Amino acid sequence: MDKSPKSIINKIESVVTSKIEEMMFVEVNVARDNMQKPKLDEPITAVIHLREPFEGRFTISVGRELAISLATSLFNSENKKIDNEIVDDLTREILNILAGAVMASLLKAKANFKLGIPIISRGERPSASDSFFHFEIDGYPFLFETPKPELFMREL
Amino acid sequence: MKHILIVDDSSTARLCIKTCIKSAGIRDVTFHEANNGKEALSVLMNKKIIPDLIVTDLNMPLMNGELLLKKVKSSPKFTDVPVVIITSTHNASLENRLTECGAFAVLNKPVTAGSFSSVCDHLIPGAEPTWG
Repeated sequence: MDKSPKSIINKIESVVTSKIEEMMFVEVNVARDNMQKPKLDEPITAVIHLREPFEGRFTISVGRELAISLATSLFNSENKKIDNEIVDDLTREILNILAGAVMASLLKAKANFKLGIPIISRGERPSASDSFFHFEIDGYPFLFETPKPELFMREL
Repeated sequence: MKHILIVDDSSTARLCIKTCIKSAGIRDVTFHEANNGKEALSVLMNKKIIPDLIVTDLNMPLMNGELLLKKVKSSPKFTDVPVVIITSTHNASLENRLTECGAFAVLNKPVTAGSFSSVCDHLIPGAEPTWG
């Protein structure tokens, strides 16, 4: 695999768009102005810590309106009332899946990695790190933050 | 009628697993759900069913997937039920340990219909997947 930071960024963008599309049946786009952090309405942030092969964290921050829209779409067939519990659960699970998929796609095949349990941090925004990604679903922004690409490069 | 028990503390994950199993071609199935291993054992006892398959997350509160696997495999009544473990952690020694404990398969998140293809073949030979 190409070890440049750009190729790692491209890989992360590809994994995020494809996995959410597979899971939620919605189209995900990389925001044109990817380096600008958008304002999120009532953000719901999930955090998951990476324990191995290096320390780091993944976060996802979604505006409440987008989170409710995704939950309503996904649970439509289940006749479930969409409440905070469902919305939080969905946000955690999306992050869990994205973090696992990013790790599996960036590390060597069969390489070991260990993720913690995703937790919700209501209202928190991603930290000021430079490894955040800005995506959109139906014009609604969401942010995904990863450990710095340099940390992945060491493991390749 | 097939009975499948899905064990995960995330309702989103349980829904995704059900969708994958349906897409993998298993029809005419009743899904039973539990939030953790302890609840799964209660479902097995209270519903008096012997499921055709148990799909369980590994990391769960109260009772994790590994302990549930050991309990199921040590029970004469349920020992033949295939247990599939789902985990977001990649670790070869962990996967070997789960396999030695009797796991039918260890799948990494995110699971897809394709991930369930071999499980599907085991349950229903000739099942027709709809995932392409």
